[in-house]
Amino acid sequence: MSRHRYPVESCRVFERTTIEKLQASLVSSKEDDNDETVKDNGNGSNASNVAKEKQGTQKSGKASTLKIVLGEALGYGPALSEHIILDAGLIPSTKVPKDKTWDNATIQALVQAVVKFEDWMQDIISGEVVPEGYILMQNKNLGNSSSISQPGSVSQVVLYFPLI
Amino acid sequence: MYDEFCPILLNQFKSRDYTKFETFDAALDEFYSKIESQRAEQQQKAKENTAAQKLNKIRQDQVGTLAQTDNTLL
Repeated sequence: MSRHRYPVESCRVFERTTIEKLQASLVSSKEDDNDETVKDNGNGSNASNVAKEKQGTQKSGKASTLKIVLGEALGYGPALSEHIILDAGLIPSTKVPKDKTWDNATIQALVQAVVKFEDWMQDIISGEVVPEGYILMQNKNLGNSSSISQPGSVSQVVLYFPLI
Repeated sequence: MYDEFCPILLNQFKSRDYTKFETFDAALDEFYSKIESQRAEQQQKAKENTAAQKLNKIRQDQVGTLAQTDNTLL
């Protein structure tokens, strides 16, 4: 976080993600995967448009994973996308299903994890809760640093936060 | 040595070593008050290690040369 440029262009007014919005975003992400020339379809949520345009050019030729798709849908960045997926008890590197539909259990689990995260964020924004702080230590063996992140995934750790 | 800071412990980082603070502000104060000195110390250690490796190599070369000279004289 401290070593990367803050993605100011992604700043926006906080808006909760509903199950309908999440489903629509997942579908529109899949459509983008199939037709990369479509960049502005106007159907996606405002929150995901910036992320879609930014990431759409990076992942050409790569298989879409749940982490990438959810990252585009939420617009919170890859690190929080991975966090939410793990919170839901799912695997970030799960490939997008061939029939292009996510099962209900997966979506429900994701929705609950998103709600949990957004509850936390809402409390922070409203000032009800003062966020805790965590300092992570450097890995001693930098070569084996990522035990969970998968090869081919976005490796840059950027944590989007409402308060700069 | 410190790596990065965050206001929420991400699930993917739970297996890493971390220090928890009561507030995010406290974490930032701690991070930025020590990171510069930690980086300087790390760079210093890296320089020391490089110098020690060079010294060892020179020492080994000289021991080898000495052994060869001894063999030649005998």
